[in-house]
Amino acid sequence: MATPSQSKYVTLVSNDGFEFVVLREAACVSGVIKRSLDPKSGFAESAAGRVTFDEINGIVLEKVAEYFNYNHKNRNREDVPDMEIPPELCLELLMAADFLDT
Amino acid sequence: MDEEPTLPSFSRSNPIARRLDELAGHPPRKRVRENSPPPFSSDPPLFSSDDDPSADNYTSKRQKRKYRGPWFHQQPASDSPSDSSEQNQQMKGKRTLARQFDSGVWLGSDGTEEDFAEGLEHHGVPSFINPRAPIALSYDHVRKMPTLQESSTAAEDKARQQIGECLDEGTEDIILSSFNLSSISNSTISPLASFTCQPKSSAGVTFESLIPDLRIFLHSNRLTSLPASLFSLERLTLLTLRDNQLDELPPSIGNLPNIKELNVSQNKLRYLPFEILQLVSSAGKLKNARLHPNPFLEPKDLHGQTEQDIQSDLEPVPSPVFGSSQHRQDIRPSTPIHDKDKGHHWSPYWHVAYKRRTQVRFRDITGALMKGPIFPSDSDQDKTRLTPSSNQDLGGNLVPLADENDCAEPPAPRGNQISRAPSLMEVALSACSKTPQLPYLAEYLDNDSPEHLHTLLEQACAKKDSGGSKCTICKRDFIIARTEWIEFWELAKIENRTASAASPLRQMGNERDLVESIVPLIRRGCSWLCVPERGRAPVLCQDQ
Ligand SMILES: [Zn+2]
Repeated sequence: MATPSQSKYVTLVSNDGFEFVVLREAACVSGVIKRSLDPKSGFAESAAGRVTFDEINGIVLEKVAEYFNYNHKNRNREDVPDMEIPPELCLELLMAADFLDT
Repeated sequence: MDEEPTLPSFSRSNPIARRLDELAGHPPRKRVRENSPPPFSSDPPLFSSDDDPSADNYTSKRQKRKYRGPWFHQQPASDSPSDSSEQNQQMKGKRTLARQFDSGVWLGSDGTEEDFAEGLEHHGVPSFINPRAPIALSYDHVRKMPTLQESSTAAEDKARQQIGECLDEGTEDIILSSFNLSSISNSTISPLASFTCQPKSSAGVTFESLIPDLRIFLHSNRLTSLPASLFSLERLTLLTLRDNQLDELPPSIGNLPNIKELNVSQNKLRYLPFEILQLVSSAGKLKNARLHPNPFLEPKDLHGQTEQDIQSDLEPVPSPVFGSSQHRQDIRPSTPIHDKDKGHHWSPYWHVAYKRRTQVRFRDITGALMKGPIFPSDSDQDKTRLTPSSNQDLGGNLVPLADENDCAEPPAPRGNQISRAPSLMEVALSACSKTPQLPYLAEYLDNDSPEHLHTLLEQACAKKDSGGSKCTICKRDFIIARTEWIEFWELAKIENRTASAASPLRQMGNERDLVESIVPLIRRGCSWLCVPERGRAPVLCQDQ
């Protein structure tokens, strides 16, 4: 879906300054990210290919980025393996999932 | 990116990890009943900031009024430094308040509240968590949570006592009927797993008699849900649930390898779980089943036929795959398909045949209905959500049948495409479900957090209690169903088998029996791709 002017990758930034570079296509499974990266939306994010989350810390965002990769990698698989989540992250990840609509 | 984020270590030497290991084998309710400390007292690592010194900044402020929303503002709203004495003050206040409640949940240990509060002080809770949650938020939610039924009623105490006596005396008939039970917990039933027969003194006792045949009578109670432990009793041979308030049976009912008699009549069942077919498979032992009366969904063809018309109209079509191999059986031996089904996989006591299905209903990541036919059992919210033009409430128990060539078309995805991979929501909820602290997690949510997160955690709790669920297409465990549809199956007892041995045709009963032999089975899928295949048996992904 990337137009020639867009990078294949986008950068996700946590509220404590950690950055995660993921495939634009993979991150767009989140409706929220897809909308904010949409050139038509006029958000500053769409030009910079950079989305900052004031709501998500680095530890959780790292798992979110891992999920994007997991989801993208398995998008055409019939037998999708499980993704392991440390128990101490489960609730924050639930809230992140709700926020990201993913 | 110079500083690596300090991830919480979770090695086996970690005391928390060990504690979790300890807990893993025992359901939380049991600990509460046994007056041992609840999980809180050992500070389970529920948050990413736990054990993480670098995360201090998340916890510097705890006053709820400084933040808006559940977790959107983890940074302090102002720069005022955190005041530890102020925090302590809050903790004290919380403890005082906590004592005013008698939820029953904490009764097991007098020190519970203090332990928990101290745990909070030591570890710090991420600031998006409402610091007052354990009392301000929990009470309502705790009451709603089915897993916390260990604050058991007098009725359940009586049942527990009865079960204890049966265990002591080796009585195989567990009679809990008319006990006024509104709920029954896993811990009440699970002791029966160790049931052994008392050796009989009379001579000529065979080895077989020492293998118990458990019979559990739960009829004439007010049960609305059933514990998973009931369906893990391998030696259960009879189960009567007649005259209760059940609106659904858990899929784990298919796990009873030795059940011979099952009575679920006079409940509020709209459908049965698809997994119940396991009981009438060739491996199943079911001989008698009483399924009616129940307000079961009935088929109504899209072209305005009534269910009576459909009975004659239901053409045998290839059955959907059930289990890991294909099972087919057909009413008419003349149908060519039947020839392939020699040595069918169904029980010799039952005539089993797939008939028709409804259209597939699609749900979003939170479980809200997106597309599909309205069922009479739907909430008003779900009914209004579905487009009124194409879906009408047929009234009564009627649901429309899908066209035979119906192809399940998912709605437009939120992201780029549809895949079988679980949503992040499902991944996180499943991780929540695996922690022993699941029943308490909702208490950590802020008051302002979306209501559906509470609902989802409650659903996860209820699902865990009732034994979980697997996708009926790809067999993956799931918590939030993303697809569902009703299949109408003929399920008829074969009477006088010897008399009709020459003919594979079952003997036709009277008309009422025939109609009642059609039962609605619900199938649920874990992804929008887990749908029935058009006009043919869906293929299990495991087979590929
Ligand atoms: Zn599936």
